[in-house]
Amino acid sequence: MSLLQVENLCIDFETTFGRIRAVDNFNIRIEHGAFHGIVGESGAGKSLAVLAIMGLVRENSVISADHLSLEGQDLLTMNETSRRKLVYQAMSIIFQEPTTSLNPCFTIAYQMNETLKAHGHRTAKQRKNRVLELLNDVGLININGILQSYPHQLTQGMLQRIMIAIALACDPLLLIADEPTTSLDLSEQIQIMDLLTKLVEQRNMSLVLISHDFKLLADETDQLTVMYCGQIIEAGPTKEIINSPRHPYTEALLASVPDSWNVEPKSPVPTLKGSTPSLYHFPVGCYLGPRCQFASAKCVRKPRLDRSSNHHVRCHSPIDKDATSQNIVVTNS
Amino acid sequence: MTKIHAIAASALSKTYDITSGFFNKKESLIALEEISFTLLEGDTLGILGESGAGKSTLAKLLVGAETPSSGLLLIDSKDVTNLTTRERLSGHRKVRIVYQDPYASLNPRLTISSLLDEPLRNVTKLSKQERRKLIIKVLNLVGLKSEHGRRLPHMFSAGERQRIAIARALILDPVCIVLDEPLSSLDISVQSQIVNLMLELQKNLDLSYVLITYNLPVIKHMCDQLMVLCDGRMVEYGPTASVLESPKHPYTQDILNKKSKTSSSSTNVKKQYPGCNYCDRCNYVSEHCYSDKPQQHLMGSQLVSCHKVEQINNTIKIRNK
Repeated sequence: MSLLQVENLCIDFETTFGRIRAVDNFNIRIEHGAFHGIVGESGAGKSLAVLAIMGLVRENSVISADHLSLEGQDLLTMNETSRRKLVYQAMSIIFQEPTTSLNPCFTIAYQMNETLKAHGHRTAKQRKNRVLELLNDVGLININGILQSYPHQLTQGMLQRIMIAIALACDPLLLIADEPTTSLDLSEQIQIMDLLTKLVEQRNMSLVLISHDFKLLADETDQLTVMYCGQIIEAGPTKEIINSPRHPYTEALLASVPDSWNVEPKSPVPTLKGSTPSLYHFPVGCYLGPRCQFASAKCVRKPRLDRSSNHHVRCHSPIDKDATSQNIVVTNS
Repeated sequence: MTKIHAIAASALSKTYDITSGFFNKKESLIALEEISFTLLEGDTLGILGESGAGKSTLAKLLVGAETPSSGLLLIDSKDVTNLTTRERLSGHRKVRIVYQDPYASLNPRLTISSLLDEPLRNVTKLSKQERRKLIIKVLNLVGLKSEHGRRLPHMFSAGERQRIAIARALILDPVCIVLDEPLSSLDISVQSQIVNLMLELQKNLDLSYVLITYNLPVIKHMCDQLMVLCDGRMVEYGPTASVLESPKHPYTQDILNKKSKTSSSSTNVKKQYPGCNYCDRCNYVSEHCYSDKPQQHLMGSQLVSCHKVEQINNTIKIRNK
């Protein structure tokens, strides 16, 4: 039984310019103890998809799905209260900006107590012990000083550690980390990532890591989902996708990562031309069409996500695995 | 052909007074201490360091947003250290800056052309027609169309906004552009587009760049020289390739191997030792590192300020054998 299973999740927004589809047929299946990565550029719908699973999307949206279950229990048929209860016991999320996710008006102690109260730690003594234990686990020192301070008095790295502690407070089965390290310093990024994976492994949780850093995802995750314009365009084992991508978008994205630039200093670097289309004006057929170097006449039809093997791909003419070495020619804009 | 100096700095320092309260003892924080470098026309200087290392203070000094406490700064062979506020406006017009976040650095109420017009109105005496021509010229240079000038910043994507920020830097015909983390808030595919744009502009206009970033592959690709800062002091300075391949200072070695211990920013109270700035985190530390300021040693083509630089690099050589 999978921990989380999502089939064909769609999220639409009603706007003054008509209905737009921000997430289009999103599928994900997360097993117990799995490390799953979601990668994509901004506006690809990766954060929105997980927010919808957690039930945190604004009310002007229309969310529909064929199947949405957590620990084998169907979330779609449940009433609001029991759904909330199940979700907040089983899932936690860490957001990108620790400074904006903590309330600047309250002390750290108050904010941690608030979470623990909601999760059934009744007495003040119980809560105090739990807070000390959690902050100790995330590697903070001088805990009493930290508890009395307000978010603006602490550094980004410390705040992110506190966010992790709050997320772990309810012992979730699934931890979602939405770009947990993007706003941090280089050395802090490494420390926070080490800490996060260590804690997740210790507690036998599953991790969904949302990021646009391929290197990080290659190191930390087993399964990877690549998103573009709200659609999944490629999904499968991380190693396979990174070593032999089958979708032209994944390939171009991998080539334009600074770490993989294999060109003389100061010469042009490989890049994907153009920019992500706006949600109001998607291209006809394949959304990558106008930016794709392999585009042909059949690309005006919408491609389907081919799920015949464990390496899913949404493309009419996916890159052949054996011939990838000849195909690595990326256009320069 | 010999190249001309775009920027030359000698022993540039900046200290801030952090006294709070009327009767309290005067205290000061050393943000930058005795930074010296020369930047040739058409070259790129990379600056590497953690947050709080003084990278942004250096950027502010170069563009004239702050005045140095001591030292000498030459821009285009003119001394700009002791100028009045009014003189500074024209003294620093040859050095422009591009900020990290293109969402925060553009005024949301101004159209792109009025945004680009502002520096021209402030510093130059061009007529309206000449200014308009110039605006269209720089928009084309950064890959935008002239009709984009009538739009507002919110109508553009992050990559296009960064192009507008670069256009604003270009409009006064600078010799040098300071790039303060120009890529870190952009998507991967847009990052490489902006890198290509910056390289193309450098080649065509003979621009110099001061690139502040901690993205090592980008430094490797773009920079001719590299300066490593640690808590306001220059710990290593030399050609990019040799600094990245054979770092001599223990701090550089640690950040290149991603082993740097808790940075100064994660401890709230910053202790400043009279000696070396890296002494409390260094593996090779000995007593006089705490008390004496290290001298600069020339090792090969790199300037390294460390007491034990010879000892450290000898042991590494032996270990590698």
